[in-house]
Parts: sequence; C-alpha cells; structure tokens
Amino acid sequence: MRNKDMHDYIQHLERDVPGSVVRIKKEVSYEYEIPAILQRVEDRKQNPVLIFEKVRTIGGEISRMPVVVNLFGSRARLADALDTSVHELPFEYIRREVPVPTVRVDGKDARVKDVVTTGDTIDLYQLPFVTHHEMDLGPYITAGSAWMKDPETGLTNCAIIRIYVSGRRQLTVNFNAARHTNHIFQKYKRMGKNVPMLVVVGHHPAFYLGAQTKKLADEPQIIGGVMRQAVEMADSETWGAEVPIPAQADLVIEAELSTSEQAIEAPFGEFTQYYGGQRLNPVAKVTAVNHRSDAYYLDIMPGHADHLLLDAPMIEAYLFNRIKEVVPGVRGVHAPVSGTARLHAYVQLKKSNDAEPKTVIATVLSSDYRIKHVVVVDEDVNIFDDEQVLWAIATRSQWDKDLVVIPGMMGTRLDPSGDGIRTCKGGIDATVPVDGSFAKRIAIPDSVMNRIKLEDYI
Amino acid sequence: MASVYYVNCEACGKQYYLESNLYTVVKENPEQQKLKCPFCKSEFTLKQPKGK
Repeated sequence: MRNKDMHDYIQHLERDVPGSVVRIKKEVSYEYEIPAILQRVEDRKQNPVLIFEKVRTIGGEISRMPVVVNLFGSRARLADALDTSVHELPFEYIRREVPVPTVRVDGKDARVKDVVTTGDTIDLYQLPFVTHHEMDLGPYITAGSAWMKDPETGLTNCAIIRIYVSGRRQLTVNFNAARHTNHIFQKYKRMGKNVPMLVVVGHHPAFYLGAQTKKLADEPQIIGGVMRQAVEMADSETWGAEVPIPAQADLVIEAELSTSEQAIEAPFGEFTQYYGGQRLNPVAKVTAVNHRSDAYYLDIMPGHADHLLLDAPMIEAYLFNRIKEVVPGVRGVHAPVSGTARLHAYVQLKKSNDAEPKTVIATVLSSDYRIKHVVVVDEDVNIFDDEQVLWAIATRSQWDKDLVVIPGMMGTRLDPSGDGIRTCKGGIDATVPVDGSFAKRIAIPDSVMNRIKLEDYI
Repeated sequence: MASVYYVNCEACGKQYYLESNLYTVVKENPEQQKLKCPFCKSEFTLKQPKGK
C-alpha cells in the first residue's frame, strides 16, 4: 500500500473535521502576507490549516504550488495524525518509536518524481518560499527536514533546520553546535568531503513527528514506525540508490552541502519569538529538485504553535522515558507552548519520597539541551493547564528549599537570555510532602457535583 | 545575556544585529567581510564595527 501522505491527511481533515481547513483563493505575496493572515486567524483564537492557492513568488510569478501553513498548529491534529487523544499523544509516540526498515520503490511509483529538474533548469525562485518576519534576511524553508547520512555509521539523521534560500540554485543552512546534524557535518569536514543533503518538504504529519525522534538510529526507519508504514524510498537524481529520497513527499531538494564555503545567513525570527542574529553558515548548491505534479508547498510559521507543537510529543515522550528509568512514579510530561515547547517542562509525579522531585529535575535538565526550567507537580495538578502549574508553584514551593539552580549548562544559543550555548538551568519542586502533612485542597462534595445539572438552573 | 552586535546598513541606515561568530570576523576584517541588510537587501562592509 502506498505511503499515506500530506494530501491524504488534508483530504481527511476536509471530509471528517469540518472547519479545520480553510482555502484562500485571493492572491497573496510570498513576503509577509501569509504570516499576517495566520496571525489574524490566531488573534481570533482559531487554528485551522490554511491553504493559499494563489501565491506570487520571489521570482514574480504565481506559484503552481499552493502553500499549506499551520498543519501542525493544533495538538488535537497531531494526536489525530497518530489516531490517539491529546493526553495519550506522547505515550502513543513512545509505542510507535520503533524502527521499521524502509522499502524501495521504482521511480514510476514515486509521486515525488513526477517533476524533476536538474542543472541549469533549477530555479528555486519559482517555488513559493515564504519571508515571514520583518527582519528576516529573506525567504526561508521552514518545514524542510534535512536528511544527512553519517559517513561512519551509515545511519541517516533527519532534522528540521532553518534554510535560507540564498540564490536560484543555492541554500544557506543554519547549524547548531549541539545537534546531531553538526556532528555528521564535522565528520565530512574532517574527511574533506561535502555532505550529500536532502531537504524533504511536505508529507503526512506522522512522517514529520517520526522525523523528530532523538533515538540514535536510522531515522527514516523510526519515521516508518511512527507512521505504521515502512517509508517508501526512491533513487535520488544526484546519488542514485546510495542516497534515496522519500517517494511520497511533496518536494525533495537534493543539494551538496559545502564543508568549506560559508555565507551570510539570518537574521531570522526563531521559536523564541526573537530574531537570531546574522551569522556565517554553510552553503549548499542545489543539484536536483523533485516534486509531485500537484504538490503543495508546506510552510511552518516560525514562533507560532505551528512551529512549537511539532517537537512537543517527541520531547515529552523522550523525557518521560528518561525520567521513568530513574523515578518510576512519573505520570506525565508536558512541554507547554507558553515555554516555547522547548524551554519549559512540567512533570507530573506520584512520588514515593521527597527526594524524587529534585532527581527528576536533574534528569530532565541533563536530557535535553534546550530544556531550561522544570516544574514538578503532584498527580492532582493538570500539567496541560498553565494556571494549575502556576498555582502549584504559588502554594506548594519555598524557593530556599525547593529550588534547583545549575549555572553553566548547555543550552540553545537561540535563547537571548543565555550566553552562547551556555545557560543557567533550574527547576522547582512544587509538590506536597509525601507524608501528607499539608493543607487540604478545597472541594465541593462529589455527591452534589454529580447531582447538579446546569440546565436545571440556567 | 547573549551578546548581539548592532550594525547600521550603509545603504538604508536601518539597524539590525550580528551574532558573535560573524562579529568576530567583521572585527578582524571589517572591510573584507560583506554583510547583507535584511531590510534593503544591500550588501555592505563596515569600516569600523560598533560594539553591542
């Protein structure tokens, strides 16, 4: 059975979840207008998928590809993509995060091979790459899953990284010292070779969720596990069978990433909702562009829920597993959008001793370089509700006893309050003593709550 | 706090900022390292980069 893809998912939404997809037929520019319209929608507290059917590109033409944005802007949609509920999402992710070997298909069965351009016929300016924020350097690929094969292990790493469209046949790729992609890049650099790189844009949300895995594995196989389908792969134009491409993606750009040439990249509005400053980053020369004849171009809106939520299930699943190895009483982990879904983590714990919360804090802070603050709460606190977590901090913590502060840890350089990749991390134990010697929460008797029906009174 | 290094575009005068990996290069070779203004898209070099 052919891999499910982004088109299948959008058809499902339009058929089964009324109002979850809005198509815009009026012409928009690639520059700022798509983000502005999404912002207006979000101001109304709404979060449908938006499909812009008429987009004028940086090249001045109307794109043949409609632009899809906000596909990941709803936790309910991500859960739906894995056939599960919002609260079960990280646990379902854990269950699916197992390798499933990829399968090869012929080019004729690979929709991504419908249209292939190489050499001088490549012109990225014909594609509807979006410029999002006022101080962004230009159009960026924001939903590009960059695939690179480790030259030593042969395992492929997939990472969504910001990619500046720096020319008609050139990309400039942002690298973060802490990520696996950088380790792979450094290996090629030591070998004196360029990096064969794929930029995969547009697929089923389960594909993207799988690509976020932190497992040290061949990540296309983990994608297959999360999708519950072996990922179909076809030969690339540039490297053939040696570097295959996902056959049912909407768009795959093949590029040689230089380990010696750098160029200007950024500013760019980041997940922190601040701009990352201008810097030097490696240049990639595009060697082939593959896409469906009816491709959608998928864009992720930086700094918005569309961007922040995609990582959350993986982070929560990963941290849950790490904590459980040390403190089995963990009940749940949530990376809230209020903390950029990367910098904060809330952990719900059924503790068996009063030392466990700080052990949880230490485990979380050392497990993901981006997590900066951790709050540990009891089972009666809903970790999906910021107000309840803040209430627990307000009423269950004393900072001379319950605060953990660790300066000089590895963090994300995109946090403007940090010092490069160094940051000060901390956590709060907002739990009650295990012996129960604490005030009792107010409650209305269950017998009355169960009896009262609002429509009998109002 | 993370250091950002503000510069003014030589063409349009608008201000934006560099990260340290670029600022270090600009400081050593201000007349050779080209910058690109995100507002007017001009490329320019700095004679004397400003501090943060």
